[in-house]
Amino acid sequence: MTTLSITELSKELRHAIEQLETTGSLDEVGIVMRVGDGVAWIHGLHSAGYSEVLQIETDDGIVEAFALNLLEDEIGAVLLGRDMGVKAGQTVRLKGTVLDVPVGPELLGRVVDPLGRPLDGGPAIKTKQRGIVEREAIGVMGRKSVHEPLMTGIASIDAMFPIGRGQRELIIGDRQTGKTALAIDTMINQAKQKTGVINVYVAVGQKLSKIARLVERLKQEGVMEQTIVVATSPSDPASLLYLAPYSGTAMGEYFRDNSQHALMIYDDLTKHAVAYRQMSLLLRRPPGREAYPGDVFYLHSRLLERSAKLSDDLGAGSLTALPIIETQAGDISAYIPTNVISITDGQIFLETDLFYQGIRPAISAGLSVSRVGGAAQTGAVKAVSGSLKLGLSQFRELASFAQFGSDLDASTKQQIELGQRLTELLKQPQYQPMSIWQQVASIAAVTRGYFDEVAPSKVKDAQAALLTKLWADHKKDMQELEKGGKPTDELYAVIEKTARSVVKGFAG
Amino acid sequence: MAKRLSRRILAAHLAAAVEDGDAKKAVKQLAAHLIETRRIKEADLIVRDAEQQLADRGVVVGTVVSAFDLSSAMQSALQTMVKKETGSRQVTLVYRSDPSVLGGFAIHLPGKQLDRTIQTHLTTLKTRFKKA
Ligand SMILES: Nc1ncnc2c1ncn2[C@@H]1O[C@H](COP(=O)(O)OP(=O)(O)OP(=O)(O)O)[C@@H](O)[C@H]1O
Ligand SMILES: [Mg+2]
Repeated sequence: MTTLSITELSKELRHAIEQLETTGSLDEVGIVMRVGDGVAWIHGLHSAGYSEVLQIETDDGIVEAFALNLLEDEIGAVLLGRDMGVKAGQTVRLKGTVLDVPVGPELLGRVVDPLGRPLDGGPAIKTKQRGIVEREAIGVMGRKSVHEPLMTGIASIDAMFPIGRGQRELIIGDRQTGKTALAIDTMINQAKQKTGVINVYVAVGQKLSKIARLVERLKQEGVMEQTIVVATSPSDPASLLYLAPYSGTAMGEYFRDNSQHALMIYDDLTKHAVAYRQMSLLLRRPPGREAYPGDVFYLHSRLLERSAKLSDDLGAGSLTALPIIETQAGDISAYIPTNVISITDGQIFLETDLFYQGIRPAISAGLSVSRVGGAAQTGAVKAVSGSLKLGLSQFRELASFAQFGSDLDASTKQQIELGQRLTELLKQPQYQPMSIWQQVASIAAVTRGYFDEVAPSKVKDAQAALLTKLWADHKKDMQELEKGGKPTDELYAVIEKTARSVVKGFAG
Repeated sequence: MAKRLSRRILAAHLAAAVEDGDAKKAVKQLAAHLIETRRIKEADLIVRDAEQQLADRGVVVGTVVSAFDLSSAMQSALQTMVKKETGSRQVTLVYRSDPSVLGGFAIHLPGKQLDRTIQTHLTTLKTRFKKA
């Protein structure tokens, strides 16, 4: 506790005594009946509403809780913090507000908990505004269809599964398949391409060491100034894990509502559902499939509905969401994965097999999809990647035949080689998001046949040589390409000429 | 065995009896019922519920806690204030002094409270300075 100066304390005390004289109105009160496992059961407070904040008067100050179970003659309230100090018989009051958190640009660059308290050792956060944690989603009339790109900087996503601002694209895969890596690269790309998009990264029950490393990396890459990290660790009470995504969304909504663009990353919603299941069981709600409560679908649907592209009347801001889901042994038909798949506008599916074959990012071309991003794809990338997905899936099919070693006709062989080159091309190391011109030039080189002589194992080297040479000799043209418009024939000619000049060293 | 009676129903029965003036009999019945159904632990809550129901019907019984004995002028002022605030026809206040509240007073009514004790203010201050 802070030591107070005598003058300060006596001023407070005199003020308190003055207040004693002004009689106010009666407060509604209840009492704690029992408490345990982070849940307090309260008698009284008949006018309490769902998600309303309650204040419990303990010997050691006031502890806050929020009402989640409103029963006939008792209230189940989840404590926002540890339950030490809360005892049966203590007085409970209504705070008179639903849960809210500080929101605004003051949070940028900070690491906070789900109640907006700093975790980074920095100064206290003072914002002009607060946002409601459980805010309702924008209605139909306030929305517009998704039409601007949100570039991830990952060539295979931007080319085959483009994401638009306001879209909700799920990242799904087993543990250790590079899910978080995709999200981080996307955040980094917002700084690299200077898109101005604000990142809000919500860590649900992640090791603090992991979060610290992430923040360190974001600082190093120069992205932290446009990022807010909402962090919860496995040792936090389930109530905080449960709140984290909603609080983070409230922080992101501030930017959406002020004509800016924000990107939400929920890492991950599987742990979020587990925290909610734990809370629900402690609140003695009836368990359903996989012991989740009946309303677990609503848990994520109401969260993800808050992502939107706003209409011009509302300022045309956007909130894009990249929720992450962890699967067990690639099973996307389990309860939580199917729920979230049905809520989102597409998914990027990461496969363990691909990951261990060294194909990273391990994106499955067949099982991934983006349902609304096509309309938002950057023109330049769209122009060169039309045949990409088809080429890749045909290749996977043919490759399984080719295993039998039978004689293949020339055209099949050619297709297989093209597939191999594409697969190599789309490999991309971590922390190296690609800009638009890099993506366009690389993809064009393979799909338009400029690299036909290059051995698949040398595609990456050829690509690097091409990009270096293009930037050295044709910087102006590449800057033109970076603007995102459809490439002109002259531009293609420049890429072709340069590509053909570098292939010689990389022939098979 | 008979259907388990909810706490609300038991409280309603007790409240009705108190209003009709035969509380003694109802209390004995209730005590027997609670022992028989092994629900003694709920006795306090049932009384609270009954108080609440009586208050809803305009009969308020409350306690006033203060560090020092209150003057009779103060007592009647509180009586009038509670009557006005709750809009009930009958208000009975029991006065109790308790030095541990340090100063000021608190009115405890069924489900409602007006806490103007120094003890509570100190708790609030404690929380505020802990957060900062
Ligand atoms: N494109 C990539 N190239 C090389 N290595 C990668 C790539 N993406 C991820 N990795 C490595 O793979 C490992 C797992 O990545 P990451 O932590 O992103 O996976 P995850 O699916 O989020 O794991 P978890 O289930 O533990 O959250 C890390 O060591 C990371 O450095
Ligand atoms: Mg991860």
